[in-house]
Amino acid sequence: MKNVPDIVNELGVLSPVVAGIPRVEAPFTVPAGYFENFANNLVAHLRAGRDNGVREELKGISPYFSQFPRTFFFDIPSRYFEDFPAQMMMRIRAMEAGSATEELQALSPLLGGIGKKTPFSLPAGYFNELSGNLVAGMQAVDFVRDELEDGSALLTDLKEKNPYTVPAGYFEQLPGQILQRVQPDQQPAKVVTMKPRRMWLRYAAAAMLAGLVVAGSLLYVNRAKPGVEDPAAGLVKVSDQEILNYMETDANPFTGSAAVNCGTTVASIDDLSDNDIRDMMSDVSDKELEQYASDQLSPKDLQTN
Amino acid sequence: MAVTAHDTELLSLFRDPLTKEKAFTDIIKKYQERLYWHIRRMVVDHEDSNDVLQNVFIRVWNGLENFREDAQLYTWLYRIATNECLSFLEQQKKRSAVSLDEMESGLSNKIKADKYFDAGKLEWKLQLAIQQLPEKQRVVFSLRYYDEMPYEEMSRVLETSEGALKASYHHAVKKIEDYMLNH
Repeated sequence: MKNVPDIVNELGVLSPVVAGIPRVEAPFTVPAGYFENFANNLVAHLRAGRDNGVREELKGISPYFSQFPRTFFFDIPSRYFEDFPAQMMMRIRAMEAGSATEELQALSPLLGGIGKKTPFSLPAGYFNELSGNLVAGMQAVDFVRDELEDGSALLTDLKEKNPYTVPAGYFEQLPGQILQRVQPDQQPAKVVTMKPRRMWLRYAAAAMLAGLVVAGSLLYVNRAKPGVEDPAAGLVKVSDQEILNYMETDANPFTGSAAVNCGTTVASIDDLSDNDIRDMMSDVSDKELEQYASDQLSPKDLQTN
Repeated sequence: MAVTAHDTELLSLFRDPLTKEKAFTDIIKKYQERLYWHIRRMVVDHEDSNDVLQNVFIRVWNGLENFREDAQLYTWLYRIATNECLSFLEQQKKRSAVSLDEMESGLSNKIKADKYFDAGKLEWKLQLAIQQLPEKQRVVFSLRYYDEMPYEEMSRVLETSEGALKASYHHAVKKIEDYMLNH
C-alpha cells in the first residue's frame, strides 16, 4: 500500500475538490470515559447475555439487592452426591422387585443374605400351654372383679378372720424395745411402782399446802406491822411431820373444833386474788414446789395440776 | 427447544432394557445437584430434601419412557421437582395442621438451626427473607435468581405465562429487599 503522501497525491488526482477540504478530526463526539470504561462495559454485557439478563434485571428492580453475593451455605452430608445415584438405583430395583425377598436383596444384599430364623429361645411347651394359661388368667381376673363388685360373702367372711398370730407379751414389751433401739446408750428408765397411798395422808398433804397458803396470806396482810415475827420464816423451821401431827389434833384452827369458832380475822382463800396468791408464794421456790409435788402427790394429781 | 444431543442419547439408552439402569444413573448424575439445590431452597431441611429428590427420580424412572422430547429434559425434571416440593409442603401443612404463617416460621427455624447459620451474614438473612415469600413466588424467585432460568423455560416448568412470572419475580425481589432493610 502506498504511504500517506502517495494517498494524498492520489486523492488530488482523483478529485481536486475533495483533496482541497481541510483535514480535521471528524466532528463526532463520544461520551466522557467511553474508551476508559469500554472494556468493563463489554465484559458486563457479555455476562448479561450469558445469564439471560438476570443480573441486569435484578439491578433494575433493586440496586440494593443486586449487590448481595450469590452464595448458598446450606450444609450437606459428605459424599452425598457421589453416593446418591447408587442409592437411587438401589431403591428403583427394590421398587421393581417381584417379591419381598428380591426387594430386600436389592435394598441390602447384607440383610438379604441373613437367614430369617429368630434366635430367641422359648420355654419348652410354651405354645401348647399358652392358651390354657391365658384362659385361667382371664378367669382369675373375672373372679376377682366379680367378688369386688358384688361384695361377696366369701370376702366378707375373710375380713373377719385374721390368720396371723403375735408372740405372747409382744405389745407389752414393745415400747421398751423401741426406746432401747432409739436410745441405746442410755440406762433404761427406773420403773417406779406407783403404790396407792393411804387416803388420810393425801388429805393431810393437801391441808398442809393449804396451811402454807394461808400462812402466806397472813404474812401478806400483816406485813406492814413492824416488830411482828414473820410467821412464814418461823414455819420454815417446822418439819413436815410436826405440821402433820398438828393438823391431826383438835387445836388445828382449820380442821379442829376451833375452826368452827374461827373469826373473821383469818383470811379466807376466797378473798385472795391470783395476784395475792402469787405474792404469797413468791418466797417459795419452784424447786421446793416440784420436790414437794414429786414426794407427796400422785401422778394423777400431777396430771390434773 | 428439544433435548440436547446428550439428553437424546441418554433417553435412547434408557429405553433399551439392557442399558436402562446405566442411562438412568447417568441422568441422576447429570441433574442431581441442580435439582437438589432447587428442592433444598424450598424445603430447607436436608433429610426432607433427600426424600423429595428421591421421589422426583422415582417419578422420572416411571415416566421417562413416555417423555415427549419437545421440551428440554431438565425442564421436565424441574417441573417434577417443583411439583414434588409443593406437594411435600402441602402435606406437611396438613399433617401438622398449622397455619401458613406457622409453616413459614417452621422453615425459618430450620434455617436458623443450620450449623453454619450466622444471623449477622447477609446471605443467611436472605434465606430468611426468601422463606417469607408465598410458596409459588419462592419457586419463581429461586429459579430466576439462583438457576438464572429464562422466563420462557420457567413458563414451561411452572405452566404459567411469562408476564405473570415477571410480575411475580418483581414482587418477590421487592419483598425481599424490604425484609433485608427492616430486619
